[in-house]
Amino acid sequence: MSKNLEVSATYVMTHLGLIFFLYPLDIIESTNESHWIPVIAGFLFHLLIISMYLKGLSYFKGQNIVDILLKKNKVLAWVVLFPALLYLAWIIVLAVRAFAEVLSIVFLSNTPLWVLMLLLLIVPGFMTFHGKIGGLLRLSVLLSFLFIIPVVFVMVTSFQNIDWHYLFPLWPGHGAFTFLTLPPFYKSLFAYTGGFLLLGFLPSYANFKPKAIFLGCLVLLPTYLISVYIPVLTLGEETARRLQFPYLLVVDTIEINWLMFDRINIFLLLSLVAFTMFFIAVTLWQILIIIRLGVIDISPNFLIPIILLCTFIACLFIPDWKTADLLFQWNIPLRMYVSIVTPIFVLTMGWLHARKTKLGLNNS
Amino acid sequence: MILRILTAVLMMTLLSGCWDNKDINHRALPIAMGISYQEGNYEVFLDIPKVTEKNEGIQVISAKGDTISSAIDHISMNLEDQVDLLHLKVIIVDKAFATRGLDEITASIIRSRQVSPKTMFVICDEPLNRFFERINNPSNGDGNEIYDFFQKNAGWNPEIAYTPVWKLFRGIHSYTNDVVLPIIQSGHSTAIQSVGAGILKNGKMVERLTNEQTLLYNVFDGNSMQGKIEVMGKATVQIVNSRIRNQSRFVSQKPELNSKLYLKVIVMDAIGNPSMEEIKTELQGLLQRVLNEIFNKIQRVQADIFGIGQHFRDNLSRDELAQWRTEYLPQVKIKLEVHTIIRNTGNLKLPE
Repeated sequence: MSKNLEVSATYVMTHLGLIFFLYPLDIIESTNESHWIPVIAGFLFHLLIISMYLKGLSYFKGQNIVDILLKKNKVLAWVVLFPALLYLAWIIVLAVRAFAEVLSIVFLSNTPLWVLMLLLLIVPGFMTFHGKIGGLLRLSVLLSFLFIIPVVFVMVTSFQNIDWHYLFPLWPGHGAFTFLTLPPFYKSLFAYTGGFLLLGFLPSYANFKPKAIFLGCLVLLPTYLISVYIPVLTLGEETARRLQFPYLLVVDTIEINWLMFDRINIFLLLSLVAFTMFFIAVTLWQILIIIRLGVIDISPNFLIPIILLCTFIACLFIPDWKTADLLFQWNIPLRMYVSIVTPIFVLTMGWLHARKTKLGLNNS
Repeated sequence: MILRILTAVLMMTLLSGCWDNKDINHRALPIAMGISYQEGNYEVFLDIPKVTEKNEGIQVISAKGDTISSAIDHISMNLEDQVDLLHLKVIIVDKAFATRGLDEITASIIRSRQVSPKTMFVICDEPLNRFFERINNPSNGDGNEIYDFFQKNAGWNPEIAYTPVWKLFRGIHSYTNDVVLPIIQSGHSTAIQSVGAGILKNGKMVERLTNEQTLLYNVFDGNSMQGKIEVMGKATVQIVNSRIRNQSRFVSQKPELNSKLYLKVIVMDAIGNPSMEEIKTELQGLLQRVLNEIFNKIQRVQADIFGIGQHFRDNLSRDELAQWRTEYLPQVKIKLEVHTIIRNTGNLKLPE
């Protein structure tokens, strides 16, 4: 049975959780004007890698990436799998640590950080442990029913105070592509590459058409643009780049008389907590699959608590926001490696595989 | 099974949200805060409504300190409740503080996340201790006047400037946006009276507008709902709709802005027996005169309260835009045309 809706929802949910916090500031820092250029550039990069990835996977019907790679050459497989594993472990630590800090800055200033981190680990751990992948996929549909309405409501109302004049100039006077030389742009790619690896793990558990993913992409594009353009249009570029979380501040400035709630960014934040937990759960599941299929088949009963414990300890070793930010930057080379090499590798293997089968058919 | 139940119980305790919780009866929730500045010392006034059965007025508490937060800490220390600025609605500063500059306090409000960025900023024309003493007078009402005065769904009027903290923050850092803050003082027969507005350039007060000018500023800035204008000796009209069209261009290196203001008004009062045409020309003349007064004022002090520079974003590079206030704003030629439509004259006719 095809699970297009579930896979598409999973894909959108995992990305939504990543967009609203760090992404706007990274884009605003990467250029002074015409912010749509880096947004579109990042988006095209995203489209390119997922289409290569999906094309490559389509040559192997119903096999996941770990199976595909390990069947061929063990050494070559680990050239791809080991960085991917490292990358997933790295982003799970960063996501938990950074999001706990965001929650603490934004509204839970009295709650100790370790409790927030524990919460962000135990709930996703519980989700993965009980749901496995089928449960996670179904959960994504439930989450979208529950939380898409408040998120869309907040996104629509955040247009309240915008000044369209800030849109201009549409094309910068000079140096339209200088953002390519600046680290903030590569940091912003996190919002595009955080969840794409998942697509390779799904084929052996759920059937889906690539079209479902591309439709999901179309849903995400406006979100990327809104998260950057709402702060720029409301506050202006000069002011927006002074803020740690520009989008959240703008949501805080919305005034709705008829609504009984004074601060509607609680709606956004609680939805994003759910999305981030889901993202962490999905990432946890990917690590689980790589270890179980690639290294040693341990029961998830033991493996999940071990991964959670290691992540929690790693999180405790990051003392402040600055270190977390630095880790995001150090993560750039690995991220680029994983997001470029993995799709190309899978595509090449798929192509070779297809040629071999064809030759085999011709010979017999 | 036991593991499942244990996890569920653990999550219920963790997720209850009752961490370090202070009950509402142990919190003091000020609705207004006054800050005055004297020779390196801040004096902070907090306007805390008394929460009792009878709702008997407000309590004003004040303390001094080197910084604003240390003054608030002093209050919190000496008060039996914890001061919680979460529901602060109005911040009142005195003239001395506004002239010195509000950039630091704005930055600390935006940073803190406790005070909402929707909080209003207000300048007080008299010493704050006298102001708070007089509005605290129980004969004035229930003590929420200062809050209601600035609420758009309560006592706000189009003659009063309306500027939340985030707009001031934008004004401080933006190249092309400045703000006006309302100026108030304690009134004779009402608790508060409005005495115009202050023009803030980069967060420092540099000029003042009268009530009438503030109304027309609001009209021109596009939030004019139901403002009433008195046309000298002829009539009083109420604005029901306003629309502005701006065209910007550079003529021989000098910026030029052509503004057309379309107003729809209804006649409220007519003195003598003026004709419709007379009211129209008189009104257009009046608007043009007052708005030109304001334009001259802002060009002299180089504060762009209308965001005129916004219309030139496409013509200027970023470096040039950074010089907007000093280089270009004084040179802008503003051509204003006012078109009015008198939509109706009420139940009485006017001569054609």
